[in-house]
Amino acid sequence: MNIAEEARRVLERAGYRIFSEDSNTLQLEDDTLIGFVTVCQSGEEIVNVWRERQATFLRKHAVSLRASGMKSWNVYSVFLSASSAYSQTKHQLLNIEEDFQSTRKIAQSNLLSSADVVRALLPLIPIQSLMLLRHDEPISRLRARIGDKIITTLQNVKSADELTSLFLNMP
Amino acid sequence: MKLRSLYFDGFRGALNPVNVEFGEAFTVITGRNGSGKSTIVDAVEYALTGTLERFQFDTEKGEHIEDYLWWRGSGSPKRRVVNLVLVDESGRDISISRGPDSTSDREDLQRLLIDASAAPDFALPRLCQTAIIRDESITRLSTDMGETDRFDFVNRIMGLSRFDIENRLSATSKRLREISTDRQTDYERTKDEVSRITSELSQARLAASGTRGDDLTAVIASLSEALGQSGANINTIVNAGRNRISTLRAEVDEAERIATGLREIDPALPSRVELTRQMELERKRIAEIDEALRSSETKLSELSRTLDSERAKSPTTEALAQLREQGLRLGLQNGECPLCGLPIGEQDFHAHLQQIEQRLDELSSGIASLTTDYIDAKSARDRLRSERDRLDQSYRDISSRSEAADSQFGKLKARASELGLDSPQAFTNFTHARRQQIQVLENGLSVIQSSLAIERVTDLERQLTIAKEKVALADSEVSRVSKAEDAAKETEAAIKRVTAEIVDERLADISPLLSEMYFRLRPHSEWGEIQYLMRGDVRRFLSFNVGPDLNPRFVFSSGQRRALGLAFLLAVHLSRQWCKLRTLLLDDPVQHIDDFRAMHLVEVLAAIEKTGHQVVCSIEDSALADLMCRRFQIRSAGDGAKVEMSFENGKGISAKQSYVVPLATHTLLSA
Repeated sequence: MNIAEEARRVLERAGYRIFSEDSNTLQLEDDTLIGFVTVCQSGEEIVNVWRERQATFLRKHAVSLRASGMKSWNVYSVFLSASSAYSQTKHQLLNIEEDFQSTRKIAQSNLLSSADVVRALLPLIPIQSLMLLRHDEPISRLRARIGDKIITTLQNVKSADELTSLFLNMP
Repeated sequence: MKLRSLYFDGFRGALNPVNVEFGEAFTVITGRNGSGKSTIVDAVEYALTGTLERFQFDTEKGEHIEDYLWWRGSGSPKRRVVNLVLVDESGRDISISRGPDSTSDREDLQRLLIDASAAPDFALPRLCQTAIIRDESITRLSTDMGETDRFDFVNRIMGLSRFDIENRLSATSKRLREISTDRQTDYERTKDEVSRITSELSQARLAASGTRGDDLTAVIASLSEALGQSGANINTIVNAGRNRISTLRAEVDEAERIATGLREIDPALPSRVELTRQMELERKRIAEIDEALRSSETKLSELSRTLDSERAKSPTTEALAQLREQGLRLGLQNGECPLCGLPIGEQDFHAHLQQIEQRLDELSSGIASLTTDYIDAKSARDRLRSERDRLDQSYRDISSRSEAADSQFGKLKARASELGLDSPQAFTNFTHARRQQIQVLENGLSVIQSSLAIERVTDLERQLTIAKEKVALADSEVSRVSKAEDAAKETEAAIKRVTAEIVDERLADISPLLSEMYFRLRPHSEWGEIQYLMRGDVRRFLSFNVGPDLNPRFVFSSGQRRALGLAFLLAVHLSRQWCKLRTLLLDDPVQHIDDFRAMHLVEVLAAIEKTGHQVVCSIEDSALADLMCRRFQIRSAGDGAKVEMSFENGKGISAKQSYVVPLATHTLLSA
């Protein structure tokens, strides 16, 4: 799986405009957010490069960010990697995410599938699991299962006493 | 359907009118504690339901939330009203007003807000319960809820609460159970009746087994005539016969007692003659003792006189005795006699005392002999008196017995004479005749009783037949009700199964949403996944599981539990199919949540807003409020609003409204 390509697909579907800097780096923007996605070889690489990449992005867009007013507070630096990280690196990645200086960071490793990429990008995209719940009528399923006649009778009888009498007098 | 605006006056802490225009996409309400942030959410709920669910069951000192819905401070508001304006998809405004009586001016509110085909029961309160997430209810309605209640909560929110047929079937099953119990009781009662009759029948058959072939009519006629009961019914005859037998037996017993008595106490009997002789002997003995007693008294009298005379002759005896006693007691006093004071030797003094003692012995020997004689005579007299008393008592006893026997004999003789029993033959004839009568009567009564036993057997056999028919009928009723009960149970079980299938499917449908919300809010840095487990057939459970099969309720911190609770409630909110109001209200949801997770919540709310839901969130932290305002997506002015609440003593709460302007659109492009 090409993480950069997968990230582009996910973000575009979420309404972002995407600009590729190179095969491993994307820039993104919508009405609210701006930022970049960098694909690294490993979690360790993320730990090593994130400050420099963030600084590079901010430096490069300094003028336009200053001009964008409040939007400059909504910058996301996203670092993704397919390789699994050791426990210590995982902790370092979490520390990167909890650092709110300059930009909001997303630092995720062990991304092996499209679903993993979607998960990593969840802070940037709309609710994914919102689908139309099934809305089949319970009565129609009961008709199919228990029998049309008995369900119709049950629906027509309005009181428990009447229903009791019906059961007592059935052949 | 979303919120357009809210106006309230006199409600909760508002002395003056408060007006809020909601942003179409989001509204952030900010302000310090007590500034009225929650009042905005309260007013929306009151407009929709006429009450506030969070206080519904709270009562203190007899007061309830209704007592605090309207302004209670100094001053008086101009009006007391809450007015909420909604806007539907076509841009049409729908206004709802409620005053202090809590009634709404709209009757179509439920129809406007709820899709009836999938609505849960108590739809409007449930709408508010799931549209409004309050600080105090985040964990109460999620992590801290019992597994069964949690299942029911989700079940009802999804509109899958028991529908009418199931409710009626449940009531029917209950009714059939009651009928079944009644029928079973009837059956047991009729069976007991058969047992009772069968037992009585056995006894009656036993009683009738000795029945002879006598002519009952002739027996009754004969008995009634003998008893002087002609024309009387059979019971009267039987009772009269029994009474007559008792009387006859008493007469026989009395005659036998008289005969025995006369035989045993006849004065001519040797024992009675011996008794009379004994009495005569006793009388003679008493006369002899009386004579001896008189002689003894005379002798005693003579001895007494002699003794007194002897004592009178010796006046010095006493004085000598005292002299000797004083001499012995005082002894020789310095060689002088203590009585006369003359000088005397020790030996002579004691010789003189010895002489006095000898003189005293000579004087006393005559009186002592007389005294002994007197005592002996007195003892002899006392013995005679005692013997006399004994014989007198014995004589009186024998005399009394003899007199009683004579009296009893006289009475028996008189009674025998009354009964005509003047001879032994008369006695024999008397008792024989009565015994014969008793025998005749007993035979007659026996015939009648045997006949009655046969009738009883016939009657009991008829009763048994009827009772057995009743048992058969009761048994058939038990079977009929049992069959009806089984059919109702089977139908109910089938309906429950189908309902459970639908519930399981729908819970499976929303499970990814629950998981996504959990992952987005990331309550725990290590345990990024959560499982939602449903189990149980009769009582259903919905439980949370994280990490290696752990219950987050017990391992998460309070902040983590709140984050998990928010994930759950947000998923529930988004799962409602029946709710047409697409607004999520949150009242101070970030308390106890750290900055990192507060950021996640802002991102989740932005994601929800991005899906077309209107988000209204009150928050105390102004920096976080600003973050929300710039993080939510807006495309035009009016999409986002910010309301700053404040409170001033004497004036109540007030709202200052501003709109959030859209951000720059093409920052990177321009670079």
